[in-house]
Amino acid sequence: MTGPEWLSTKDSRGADLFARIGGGDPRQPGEDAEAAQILATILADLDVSAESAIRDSLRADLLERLRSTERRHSSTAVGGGNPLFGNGIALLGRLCLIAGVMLVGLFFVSPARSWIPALVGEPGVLMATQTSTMTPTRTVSLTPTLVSTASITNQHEEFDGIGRADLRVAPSAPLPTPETPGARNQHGGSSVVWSRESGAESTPQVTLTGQPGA
Amino acid sequence: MAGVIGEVNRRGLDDPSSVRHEPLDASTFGEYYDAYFPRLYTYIRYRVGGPAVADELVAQVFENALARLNRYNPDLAPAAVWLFAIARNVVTDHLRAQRRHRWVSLDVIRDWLSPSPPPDETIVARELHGALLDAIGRLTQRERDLIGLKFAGGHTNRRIAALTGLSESNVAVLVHRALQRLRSELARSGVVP
Repeated sequence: MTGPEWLSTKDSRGADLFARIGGGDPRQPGEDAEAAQILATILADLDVSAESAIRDSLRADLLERLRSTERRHSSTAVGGGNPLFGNGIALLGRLCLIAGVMLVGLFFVSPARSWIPALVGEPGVLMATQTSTMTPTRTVSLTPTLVSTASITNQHEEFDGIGRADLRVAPSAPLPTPETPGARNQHGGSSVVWSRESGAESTPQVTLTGQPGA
Repeated sequence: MAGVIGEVNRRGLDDPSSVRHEPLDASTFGEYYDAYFPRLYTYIRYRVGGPAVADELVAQVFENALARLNRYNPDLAPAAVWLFAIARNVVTDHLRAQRRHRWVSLDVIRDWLSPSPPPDETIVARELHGALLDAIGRLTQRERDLIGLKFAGGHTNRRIAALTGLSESNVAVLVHRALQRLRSELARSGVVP
């Protein structure tokens, strides 16, 4: 309530209404409703915004900011977007999209893409590489020699005689074909039946058959 | 009860006709400012202490509205609801901050520096309206919010329900009770018999 100017002419009507608010008996519903109506009328008519000391200056300031924002927007416009940050965000989004597409393209075009089969589960390529490095370098006897220790014990009654061991053989040795029980080796009382696996000449897999009590 | 108040509400406090059919955007912001400033200022004045604080908060409301103008969607809510939702948030933040820090309002100083005394013909009306604002200031924040939205904002009960999360019928009852309390406060201060 700083200046008289904020009191408009309708406020004098409000002064008359004020006198009528308390006129009735609040215990009577009709009087109560009338008082509420009068009070509501006063409140609805009350406009205290003329108290404000910044109304005009705030308006000018806001509109100036709006205009400057629009000017900035029009000078850096890249098409639509919001007036404040839209351009920057849109530009950044497009750059990220282009960079992503280029990166993915580079991965597929690059010759060093051995990660692809590993990723999609094709182990054949890696296995072939490993096999090619296992070439025998020296001549060995025709008799296969057990070089690794199989986790087999035939000292126990419950041994059922199935295990695996590695044999080192010469590459020129005439290996028996699978299911040929031609070559037998004695090892700790157990007979060793070995067979040649396809594609692994230097490291045939051997099946050990134990004989309990042998 | 609700009918009476609803009638008062419809008596010219709906959306200002000058901007009713214009979407709120950068080109119409000035018109919306002119149309809604009195309603927002009066609403805030009902909620907080004095004119200086109301000035500060109403400026905050319009600055927030300007900053979020590109996000305003008229299909979701009319401009009046959107602006008053911002105003409610600003007032809530202010009241929350006020609970943490006790500020001395600039309105105290403004009263000291009051220029010449007003003409006699306005003294009575000023006192009455001052007493009315004082009485409103003694209501609870929820009552002040509802009275502000209803009479300063000119919103329907349905809109107030949407803004406050109350049911429409509950809004009508609470507004009526707030008016009764306001009348009691006015009687206690001797403004009304």
